[in-house]
Amino acid sequence: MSGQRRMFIKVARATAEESMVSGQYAMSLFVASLVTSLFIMFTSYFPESGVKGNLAMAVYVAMMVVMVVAAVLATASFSGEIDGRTMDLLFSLPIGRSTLYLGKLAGIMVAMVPVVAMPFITYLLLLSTVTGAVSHILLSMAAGLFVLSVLMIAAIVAAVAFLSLLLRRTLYTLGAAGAYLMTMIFLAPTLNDFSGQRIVYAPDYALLFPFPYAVIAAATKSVRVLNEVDPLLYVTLLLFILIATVLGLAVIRRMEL
Amino acid sequence: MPNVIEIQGLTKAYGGKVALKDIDLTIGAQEVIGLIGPNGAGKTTLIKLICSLLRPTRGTIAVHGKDITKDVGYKARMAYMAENAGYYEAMSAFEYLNVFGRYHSVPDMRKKSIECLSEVGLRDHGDERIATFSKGMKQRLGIARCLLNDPELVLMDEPLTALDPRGKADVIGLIAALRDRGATVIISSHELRYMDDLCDRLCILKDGRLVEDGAPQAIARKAGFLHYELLLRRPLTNEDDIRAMFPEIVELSCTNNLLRLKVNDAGGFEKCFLRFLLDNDIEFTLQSHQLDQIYSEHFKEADR
Repeated sequence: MSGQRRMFIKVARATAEESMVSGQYAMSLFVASLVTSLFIMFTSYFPESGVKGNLAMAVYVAMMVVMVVAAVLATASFSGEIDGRTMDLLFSLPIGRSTLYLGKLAGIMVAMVPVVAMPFITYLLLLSTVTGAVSHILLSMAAGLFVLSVLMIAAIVAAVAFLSLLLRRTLYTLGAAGAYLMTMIFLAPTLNDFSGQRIVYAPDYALLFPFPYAVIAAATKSVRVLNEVDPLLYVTLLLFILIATVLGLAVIRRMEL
Repeated sequence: MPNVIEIQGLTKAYGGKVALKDIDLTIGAQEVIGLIGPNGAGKTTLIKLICSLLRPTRGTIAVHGKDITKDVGYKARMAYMAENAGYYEAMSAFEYLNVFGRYHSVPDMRKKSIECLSEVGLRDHGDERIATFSKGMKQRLGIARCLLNDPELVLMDEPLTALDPRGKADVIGLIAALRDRGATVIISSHELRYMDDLCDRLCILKDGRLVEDGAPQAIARKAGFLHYELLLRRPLTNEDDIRAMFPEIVELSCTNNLLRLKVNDAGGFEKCFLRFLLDNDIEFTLQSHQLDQIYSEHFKEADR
């Protein structure tokens, strides 16, 4: 294994460990689970939305918490290091800057996967407790939604990491990331409504946040509901992650401390 | 001995402001180089350029013959201590060293951490959180981090800043230990009297230019006269005798027991004068250093 590949694994491991040992991480797992449980309890009063609809709604609400956690972790890993004057020490190590950047992104994603999984696990556990069994269709829908949620969080992490390197200050990054997320939370449904479909509790709804998808979805009116996930969604999210990562790499490679 | 660092035509500009201009410098193995100059002279910029935290506007830096912009391999045996360096405050000293030791692939990390912390006198504080450390303890921890990978090249930017006299002496001792292990050390500091004893070579930077480069004694001689300030225990009664005995003394004044000498030294004055003071039972304390004088002469205009 080449030196930089080994370094990539070390950086990813250190970042994941650093993120996961913090008190906030345990809290985020708990909150994601709690929000899902409370939401399910609340929506159980509206049986007409159906099991699939409830899952989609629960994921939508829980993902708001998960997105904030992702944004905070990404900010801490980049702006936090620059603000704390530890980034220059990392730059003085035998780690290429691209390796450091990609390693940190990978580490954050490793830490984020359990947080993303939490609402799904909670929902399926509660459902199996109440009904005694979970249908195959629901499991397959949950799997699809989970993959999309992971991609969405990766998109948020890549975007916030880029912002973080660009703005350098934790406070500015959190402000910009907050503004971005809030815009997407409100803009995506609006665009979605403009597309004429008026999908209220679709799973795709939760995954509209990365800006390009919202635009494309609105422009092409290609948003579909529930378990019929549009391939364009995957492509757009992957494209968004790629663009944000390349931009972040460009910034970190030219960064002077 | 082979050169560790070769710098050629190095220029660094921040926008329109030139921080370093046309620096040519060669540093050999196991040399201790002191960078001195006022704030804004370019000391930190030079150190950061060698660490590749900054990119040169023009010129090249090669470590062990390899261009540092193309190969980060030299950092495996390099240690960098930044001015006002950041620490992961929530971590313990052991955890902190573990973070960096992992990247340097230190085999027995716990053992190595204990060794490094013992060397800097922090062995008993290994499990304490860094947030509880004093400034001096943090500086020591920074040096312990520098020891982790047995570096061949150590860069320290103002390591004596904000330390009390004992802390300074301790840190100087630790830097000397690094030197004794065979590392090439580049250190920037305003603490001139420590630099004289510690450094094999001094580089004086002024407005981004290298204005002096040589051994401390050579720089002192080049400056023309040697200057001394001695605080005597009792007033001097025989000024004329001293002038007669030491014709190399160009100026002599003694007020409030403070003896000021300007000496045109051809070599050997210090020994003879010390002998004279001892023979006459005159107790004294050295008040100011030759480098202070050279420094103030170089930067007279800048201070105005």
